[in-house]
Amino acid sequence: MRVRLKNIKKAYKGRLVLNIEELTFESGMIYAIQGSNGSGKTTLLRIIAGIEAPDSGEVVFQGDDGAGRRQIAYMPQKPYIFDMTVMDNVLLGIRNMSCDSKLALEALRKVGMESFMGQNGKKLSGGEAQRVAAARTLVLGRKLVLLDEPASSVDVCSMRLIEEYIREANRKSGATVIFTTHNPSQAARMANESILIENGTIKDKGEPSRLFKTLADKEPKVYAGMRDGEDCLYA
Amino acid sequence: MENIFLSLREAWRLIVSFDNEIYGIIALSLIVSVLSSALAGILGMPLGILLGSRDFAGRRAIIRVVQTLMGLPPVVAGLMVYMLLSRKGPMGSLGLLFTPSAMIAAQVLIVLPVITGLTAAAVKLKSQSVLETCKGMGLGRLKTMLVLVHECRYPVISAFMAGYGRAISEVGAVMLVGGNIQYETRVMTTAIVLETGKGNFERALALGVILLLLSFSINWFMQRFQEDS
Repeated sequence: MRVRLKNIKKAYKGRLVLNIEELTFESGMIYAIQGSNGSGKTTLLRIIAGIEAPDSGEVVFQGDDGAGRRQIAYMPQKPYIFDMTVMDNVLLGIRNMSCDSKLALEALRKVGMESFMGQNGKKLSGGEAQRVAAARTLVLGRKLVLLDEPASSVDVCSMRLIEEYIREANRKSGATVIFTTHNPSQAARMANESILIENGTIKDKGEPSRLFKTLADKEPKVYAGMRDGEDCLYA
Repeated sequence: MENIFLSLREAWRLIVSFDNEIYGIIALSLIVSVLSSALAGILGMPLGILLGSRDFAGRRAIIRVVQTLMGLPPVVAGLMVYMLLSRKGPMGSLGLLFTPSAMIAAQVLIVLPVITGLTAAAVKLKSQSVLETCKGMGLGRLKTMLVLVHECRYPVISAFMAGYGRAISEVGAVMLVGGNIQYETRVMTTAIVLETGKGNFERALALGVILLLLSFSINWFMQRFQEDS
């Protein structure tokens, strides 16, 4: 699904937090949104997801079957896990689909959470909850997947599993994936294109590895979002 | 201290005596309180969920009115129902004054704001996270509402229990619209007032002990239900 943003503006209590003249996300691509805390990454995703309405401008969905927002899956930064089993959490969005239990189990397996399937979602740790939320979002098979820091609380192995699942969703169903991250190396690994947002405006965009170097050299504040030694692990 | 001991002994005697009048009073107390709480719950829970989860014009004003009414003096609620049901009132032709129906109506008026207000506050705490997650998953409106109710079920049950607690312990309204008529509209709280007025403190306190035991049993049952769930 192709997404086009035109003249998007959003302010909170008089402070302009997002001001994007034009931005297009091409169908079937993976985009990483980068920027420091409060730069407007989450607001951008929430507006695309329809969780928040912009003060002005419009979000246009193009292509596929014209289903628009019905083809969106969105995972918030702090995922809410329902007070039911892990399995039911994943099944909630895919009920009525054929073979739904198999699908849900497979999704949990992909994020390494299949052994938790009978456990109550409220008893999960932050990292486990994030893995379940990722499975719950990606299993939906939507054409536009929006992930707000999808692997910010997980260990290195789980991060790899989530990243692989995201790639698979993109590859198999041709989904457009847009995710936010503070981790430039993750953006370089995952994305076809990175977009750098600062103070609500697009400061730079392009090939992730180029942005990675730019950030490391010129934007240490944004680059500092990466943990120590991470470039060695993933280089 | 001796009085308290005597009251406990009297309470026990009343329970095991299977006195028709006492059991009639207990039964009517339960019927009036449970029915009024149930009716207030049927109306108040959906209203509370709506107030706690949706943003619409006038929502804040409604919440302020509900919160004010949460402290509605029972005798004022009783007076309003009395005026409605009295012979000269707009609903006087129904002949409901000094009947259990009038007592239920008065208690609904008292309990409704309690259940609505507490439900709205409980739902408000979770609604944003739940609604956003459901929207992110593409769930429909009905399914989203069902999920929201499921997520708020424990505080909503607690809201109902708080409403029931207000109903069973209330005396002013039921006295006013029920009239405390023997074998007709006498409930435990009005019986306590009557016995105290007659100087039968042991019997009054014994009825109070039975009332507390009843409340404790119902709360214990509801808590077990919540824990088992």
